[in-house]
Amino acid sequence: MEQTAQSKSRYGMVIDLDRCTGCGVCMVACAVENNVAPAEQKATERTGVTWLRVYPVSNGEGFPANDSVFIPMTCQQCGNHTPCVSVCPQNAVEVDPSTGIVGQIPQRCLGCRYCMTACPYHARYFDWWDPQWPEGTEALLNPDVAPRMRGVAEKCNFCHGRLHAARTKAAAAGRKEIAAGDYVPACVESCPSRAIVFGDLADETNEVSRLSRSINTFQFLPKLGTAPKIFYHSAKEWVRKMADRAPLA
Amino acid sequence: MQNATETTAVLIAISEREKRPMNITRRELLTFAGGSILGALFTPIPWKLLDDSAIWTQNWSLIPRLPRGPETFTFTGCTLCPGGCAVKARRVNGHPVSLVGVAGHSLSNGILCPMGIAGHHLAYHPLRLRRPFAFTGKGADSPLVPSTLDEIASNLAPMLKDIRSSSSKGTIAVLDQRPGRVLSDLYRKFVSNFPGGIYAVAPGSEDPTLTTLRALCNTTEGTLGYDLENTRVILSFGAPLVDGWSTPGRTVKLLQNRNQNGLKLIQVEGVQSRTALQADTWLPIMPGTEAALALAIGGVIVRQNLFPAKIEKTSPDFHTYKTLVSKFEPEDVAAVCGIPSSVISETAHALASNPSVVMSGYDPAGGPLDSATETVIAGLNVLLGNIGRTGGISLHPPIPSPGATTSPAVGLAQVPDHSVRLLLIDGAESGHTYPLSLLKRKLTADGGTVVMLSPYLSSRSALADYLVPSPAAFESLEEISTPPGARRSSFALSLPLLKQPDTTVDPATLLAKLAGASGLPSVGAETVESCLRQRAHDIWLSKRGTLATPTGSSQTPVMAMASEEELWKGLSEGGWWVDNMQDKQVNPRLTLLGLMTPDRYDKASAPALDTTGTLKLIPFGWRNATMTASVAPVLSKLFQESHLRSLGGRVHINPSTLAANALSDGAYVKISTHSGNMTAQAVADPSVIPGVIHAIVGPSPNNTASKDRPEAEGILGLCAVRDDGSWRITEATIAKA
Amino acid sequence: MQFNHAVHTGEQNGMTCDMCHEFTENGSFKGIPTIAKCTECHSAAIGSTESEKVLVEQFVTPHKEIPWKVYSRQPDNAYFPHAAHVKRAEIKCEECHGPHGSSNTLPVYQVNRISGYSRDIWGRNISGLPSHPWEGMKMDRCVRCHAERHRDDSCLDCHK
Repeated sequence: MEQTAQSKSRYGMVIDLDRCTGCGVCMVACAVENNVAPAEQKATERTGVTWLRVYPVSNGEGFPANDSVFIPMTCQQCGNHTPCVSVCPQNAVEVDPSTGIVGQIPQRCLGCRYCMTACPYHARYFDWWDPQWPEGTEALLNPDVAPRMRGVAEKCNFCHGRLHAARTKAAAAGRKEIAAGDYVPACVESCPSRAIVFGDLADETNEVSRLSRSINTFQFLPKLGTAPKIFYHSAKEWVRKMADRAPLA
Repeated sequence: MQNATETTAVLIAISEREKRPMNITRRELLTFAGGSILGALFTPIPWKLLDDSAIWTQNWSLIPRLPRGPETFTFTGCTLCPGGCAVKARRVNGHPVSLVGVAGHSLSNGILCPMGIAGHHLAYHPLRLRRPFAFTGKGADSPLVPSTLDEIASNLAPMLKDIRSSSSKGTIAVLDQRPGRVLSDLYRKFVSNFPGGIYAVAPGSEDPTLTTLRALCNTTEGTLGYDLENTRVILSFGAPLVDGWSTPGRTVKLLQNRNQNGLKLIQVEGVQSRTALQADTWLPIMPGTEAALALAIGGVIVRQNLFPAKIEKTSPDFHTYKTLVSKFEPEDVAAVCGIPSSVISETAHALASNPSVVMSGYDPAGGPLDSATETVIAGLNVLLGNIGRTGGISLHPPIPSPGATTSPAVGLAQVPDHSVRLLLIDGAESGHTYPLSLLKRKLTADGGTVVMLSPYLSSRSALADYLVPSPAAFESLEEISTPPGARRSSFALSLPLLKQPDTTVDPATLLAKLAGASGLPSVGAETVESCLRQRAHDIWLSKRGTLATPTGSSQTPVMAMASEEELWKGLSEGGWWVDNMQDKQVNPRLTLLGLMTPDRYDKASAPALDTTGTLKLIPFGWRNATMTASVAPVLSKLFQESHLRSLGGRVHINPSTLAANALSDGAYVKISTHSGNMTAQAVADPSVIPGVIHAIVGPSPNNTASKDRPEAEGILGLCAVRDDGSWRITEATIAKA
Repeated sequence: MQFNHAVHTGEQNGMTCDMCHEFTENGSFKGIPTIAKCTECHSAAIGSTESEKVLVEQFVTPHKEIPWKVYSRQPDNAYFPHAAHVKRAEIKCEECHGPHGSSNTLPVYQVNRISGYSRDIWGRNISGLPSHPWEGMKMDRCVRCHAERHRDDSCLDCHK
C-alpha cells in the first residue's frame, strides 16, 4: 500500500468569525469527544485544558462603539517549520505526511513544556493534574481517545478518534479513501451557526479550499511563516488587522 | 629453601587472614556494584522492568479506563429546558458517550446548546441528589438528613388533612417550572381538591410577550406563538434569540439565513450581548426606559397612520393609547433612552411596512421587565395588526387534551402574599432563576413548609424543608411539550439513556403519595409514563398532526395510523409529533394597554440616572447556567478554564463608571442595596452601558459548592422585588470592598 | 471451563474464525463473542463434555457473560483496526494470533504483574525474542511489519 503523492491530504479549516456567536458549544463538544476532564478545583484559565478555546476580543472602543468578536482558537496545524515539532526533545509530536495533521502523542511526552513555549498561538495545554472525572462518568468516556495522566502536554489533533472511525468504516467497505462526510471533527459538527468549515485543503474544488482563498480570509500571525491550516474569515476590517498583532492570551 | 619459606609465609598469611572477619574493601564493593549494573544491562531484566513500569503508568488508577463494548445510536430529546431539542446519542455498552443534534430535524435543525452536549454527565453531577432528604431547620445553614418518601408523606399527612378541611391557616400550592406538560395537568387536578389550592407557574417558564398578549387578546383557548419563519422584522427587547431562547436551532437557522430569507433583527438591549452582536441593528438602550421607547415607536406609528385602519375601530382603548403616545415624542424619548429619534422613526417604519413581531425576553436571571413595560411592548403587536397574521403572532390549537382540567393557573407573582402553607416545587427546570424573596413572601409568616422536587442541590433548595429527588437528565421517560413561542403544537418523548437509581422519585408517584396522605382518592396517574401514554392516546384519537422520524426521513399522518400502539412506537423511537390543525380565530377586540392605565407611564419619561451615585443593579444570566448544579462539570471549559463566560459573583461595569467610582478592573467591590450588601469582583467591560452593574448570576467554580448545604443565592438576594413580580432593576451603590 | 477451538473449526463443524469473531456494520471488530453467540448453537448441551455442561448451566441459561481473559489486549492508547488489517491488507488471523483456531485447549492466561497485561504481549521468553513467529505484540512488531509493507506511517495512525 504505497502512499502516492496524489493521496496526500491537507486537512484544514475556515472559521467564519462573523458567524461565530461565541456560544461555546464547540469547546464543550471538544472536551466530551476527547475525554478532557472537568477543571480541577484550583484550575484557572491559565492552567485549564481547552483544546479549542474561544476568545472574546474587543475593538477597544468605548460604549456603544465597542464591538466584539469571538475567536475560536485551536491548534493551527502549522505546515511550515512546525514550532512544536521542531523543539520537542521526545518526538512526541510530529506532522503526519499523509494528512498534514500535527499529531500529539501524550504518552510519549515527558512534560518539559518546551512546545508550549514554542507555540505562538498558545494552543497547547498541560495536564497539571490527573484527570478528575466525577464518579460514574468513566463509563461515559469516548472509547476512541486515550485519557492522559498528569505531566504531559496535549492539544487538538483534529479529532483523530473520528479519523480512525472513518478509516475503519472505509476499510470495512473495501475502500482506501475515507468518505468526506464520515470525518467531521466534534467542533465542526456541533457549531449551530456552521461557522467552522472543515475539509481537505489539497482538494482544490471543495468548500474549505474555496473559502480559504476567498476575500476577507486571513490567518493569524502570518508573518511568522508557520503556514497554519486554519483560516479565519471576517468582513470586519479591525478583526483582520488584529491577526498580525501579538497572540490573544 | 627460599621457596618453602615464601610458600609457608603465604600459607600463614592466608590462614591468618581466614581467621579474621571478611574484610571487603570499598573498591571491591564498588567494583562489584558497577560490574553487576553493567552486567545487568546485558540481561533483559532492566529493559523489561522499564518497559513494564512504563506500561503500568499508563494503566494505574490515576487515569480512567476507557469503556469497551458494542456501539449503538439512539434518538431521544433533551429536557434541560423547554426548548426540547432532538438528540442523537452515541452509546457504548448502552452508556451514552456523546450527544449531538439530529440533522434534518424540523424543529431543532441538528443543533444542541452547550448544556445539551454535556447533558449525559448531569446525572453524575457532584450536587446530584440520589435520595430524599429533610432539612433539620429553616435556612441555608441547616444540615440535611436522609429521609424516605414514606417518612415525608407521613410527616406531611396532618398538615395536608388540615388544609383539606380549611385554608384559613394557609393553603397548598404547586409551583410548576415547566407548564404545559401532561404532568402539569396532574398538578392542577391535585390542588383543585384543596380549598384555595393554587397552581402557579414559575417566572421564566413562559414567553413574557405571549403571556401578556394572552391578557390583551382576552384569549383563553389556543396557544400563542411567533410565526418567525414568515416574519421579516423582529424587534426584540432583550430576548436572547441567539443565546438561549426557545429552541436554539429555530432562531439560529433563521438568523444565519438572512441573506436568503430577508429577515432583520433589531435588538434593544443595554449591553452588547451575543444576540446584539449578531443583530442587524443594535439599539443600546438605557435599561428601565424600554416603555418610553415602545411608546415612542407606537407614537410614530399612530401619528403617521402606519397601522391597519381597523385597529382604531376594534381596539376599545385605542384613543386612550393615542393620547398616551402623544406624550412620547421621539426627540424627548431619545434623551431618556439614548436612542436617536431618527432611529426610533426608522424602526417604526420597518415594523409597519413588513411582516413583523415585537417581543421582549426574560433574562434568565434578571427576569421579566416590569408589567407596564411588557404591556406596551406586547401592545405594539396589537397596534401593528400582527395578531393572527402571517409572519406575526399565531394562535394555534394546543395539544389535544380533552380530559384537561380548567382550574386556574397564576403566575408566581400573582399568588397572594403569605397565603401558602405547603408548597410543592416541581423539579423540571425552565432554565431561568428568580430571587428566593419572591418565593418566600408567598409563604405563610412561619415560613411554611416547602417540598422541593429536584434532581440537584441548588441555591433554590435553601427554602426547602424536604428534598425529593426526581430523576436526573436522561434518566427517565419525560415529555417534550410545545416549546415557548412555537408556531404549532408539538409533542415528543425524551427517552432515557441512563439507569434511574431506585431511590429517585417519579413526580406522579410523589403526588399519589401526598394524595394518599391527605385522604384523597388517587390523582389519576401513578407514573409519568402513564400520563404520557394518556397524551399519546388523546393525540391519536384526535387524528391530528403528523409523526415524523427524528431525521425527518419520513412522516406519517396520525389519521393514517391503524392503532394507538403505532403512534406510541414511533414516539418511542424518537419520533416527533407536530400538529397540522388550522389556526384559531383571533378575538378582534384586542386591547392595546390591557389592565394598564396611562398614569402607570408617568415616570417612563423620567431622565436616566447619571453615572455617579446610584447605579442600576441588573442581574444577568445564561439560560440553564444560572446555578452550579445546572451545568455539567465539564462546562468548566467555558467558565473557569477560559474567559468565555463569567462565573457567578462577577459584575461587569463600564470602565467610565468604574473610574467615576474610583475603582479599577478586577477590584473587589461591595454592592449595597436596600436588601443588603455583598462583595463581588468587578470586571471592566465596555460592552455594558455606563451606570449599570451587570451582575452575573452563574455557577461557582467546580468542586467548591458544598454538597451538604444549598449554595448561597448571590446577587439575587440583593434585588428588590416589585409588586408586579419583576426584579430587573434595583438601585445600588458600589464602593471598594 | 475449557474451550476447544479445534472442535469448532475442525472437520467436524468446519467453522471459520469470522463466524464467531465478527465485524460490525461500521467496521469495528466485536472481538471475543458474547454469550448470545454461543447460545445460537448451545442453547442446550449438544455434546458430552464437562466444559460444555458448565457453559450451558452457568452461562447460557442465566444469560451471564463469560469473563474471558484476553491475551491480545493492548493498552487504551493503542488503536488497532481489525478492518484495515483483515479486510484491506488481507492478513490471515494466524499471522498475528498463531494457530489458535486449531488448538484443543486454551493456553493458560498469565498476566504480567507490573504492567497488568497478558504475558503474551511481551512473549513467553524474558529476552523478548519470539520462539514462534506469532508471539509477542509490542509496538516494534507492528512497526516492523508496517515498514515491510512500505506504509508511510505517522504516530496517530496507531495511537488514540
